[in-house]
Amino acid sequence: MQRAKAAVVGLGNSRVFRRADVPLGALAVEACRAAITDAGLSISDIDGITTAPVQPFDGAGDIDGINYVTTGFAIEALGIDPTWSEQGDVMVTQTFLQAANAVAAGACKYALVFRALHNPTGRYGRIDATEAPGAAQFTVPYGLGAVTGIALVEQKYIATYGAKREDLGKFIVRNRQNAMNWEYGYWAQHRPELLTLDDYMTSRMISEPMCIHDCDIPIQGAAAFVLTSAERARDLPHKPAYILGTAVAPTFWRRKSGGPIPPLDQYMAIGRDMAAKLYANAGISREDIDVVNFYDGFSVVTPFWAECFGLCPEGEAFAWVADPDIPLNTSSGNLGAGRMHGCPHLMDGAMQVMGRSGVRQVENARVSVVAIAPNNIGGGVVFSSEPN
Amino acid sequence: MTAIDTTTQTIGKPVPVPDEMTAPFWEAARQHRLVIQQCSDCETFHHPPVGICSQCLSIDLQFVDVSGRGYVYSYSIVRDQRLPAFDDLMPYIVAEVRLHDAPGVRLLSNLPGTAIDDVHCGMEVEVDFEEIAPDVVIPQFRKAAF
Repeated sequence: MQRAKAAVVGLGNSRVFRRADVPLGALAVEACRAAITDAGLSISDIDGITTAPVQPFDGAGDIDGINYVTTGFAIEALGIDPTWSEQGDVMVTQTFLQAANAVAAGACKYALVFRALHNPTGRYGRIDATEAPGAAQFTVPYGLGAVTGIALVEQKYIATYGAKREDLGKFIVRNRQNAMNWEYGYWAQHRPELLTLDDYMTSRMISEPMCIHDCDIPIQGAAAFVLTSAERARDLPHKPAYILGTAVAPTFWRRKSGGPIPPLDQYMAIGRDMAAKLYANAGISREDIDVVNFYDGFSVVTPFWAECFGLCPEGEAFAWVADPDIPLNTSSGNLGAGRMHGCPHLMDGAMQVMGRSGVRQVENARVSVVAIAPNNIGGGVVFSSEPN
Repeated sequence: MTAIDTTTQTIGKPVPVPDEMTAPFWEAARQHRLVIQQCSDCETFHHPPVGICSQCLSIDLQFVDVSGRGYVYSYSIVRDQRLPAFDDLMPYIVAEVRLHDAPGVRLLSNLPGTAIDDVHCGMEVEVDFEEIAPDVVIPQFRKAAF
């Protein structure tokens, strides 16, 4: 029986900028048109569309097409007439899965997934609020921000296992080299600068043990994907990236965590659970994997996924990413592309099995594993060069 | 337990806005008591507070006094962040505290009185209270005396 029901058949990127030099709505349209053209389709073929409009920081603003881009804006701006449209939560993975399910179920023939990330002028995410309502009641009065949330998890990992920041640094130094091969990214396009381990170890601390190089740089840009059913995919120009399996972390963790990020023990349990479900859903095991792209909006998320997928023994995740035995983050991730929120991982994850990765190409890449976001809001996809 | 004199340090910190579920927690804090919501039927602790117990579906939830003793599960030293009110306090500690007598509950604290070089995972702490604005009190923790 053919396992894959859906496939990626087109990919597109907008230009990227450090700040909002070009309106976000225009960049979203740019990425969507590029993906549709790449798929060998025209606007009138697209009958499904979804996005995650939420920006991952406070104070982004609330003007559609400027500060974020909704599905509704894109429908109008692109001039498409969908039979299926949807809008998702903050991560691209969940909307990507919505689209895969929509084409597999026949809700539409060709689904467009896009993600547009905003970086306004001024200091990113500055919070001038004097009040802390909702979930912030228990975090903001203590000065907890997003970086500190994940720093608490990393510190516990270091304290528990004796993991070394130097090992994480080796991964980050190599990743910046990979970034020069990600032509759609901020660092390759605007600042082709390499890093040394000394740069990493002496760089400015943000929230110990996390330094500036552990955080992705906020940018303005958009990316898009065209998905269709496995049957239709065969008739299009590119060799398809078949979606062999998917999994997401249960949404109840978002409610339970009592803060932006759950503590280490829960965090890793969630990730191991999701990885096991992804392996089972795709019908693969560790030995089948040819390449992995693990989220790195904060650097430490990558080694944590590696451990959760069983690529290294417990406690040895930093050492593994320093010297991985499977090609790791060929996309260069968010750290290499800028804050594109998992789009580079999904994109090169797909391109690898399509044989389209160029200088990044892993030889004979057949099975490609992608995991996006911190574990508690995680989602994963297994791409395959074959539908079975 | 004594109130911490932080009058020179706390101007402008965002104040928690109590809601229907959290009001008893903040009212107790104002009285320098630490209370955690607990299901009266299955005894599961919930923090932040909830409207219905996800374990047994009871809506008989009450706030119970806890000892306020716990330990530092993890911590971070903050040297850059986005809240203007905390700019002059950097570097400061954000610790994740787990309570000994309320399993599963974690609370944050800045560990007032603890130097940034002295904090470590496993450090025993006890609750204290900080008035961050007139009549607005948040639980904090300090290194345990015992």
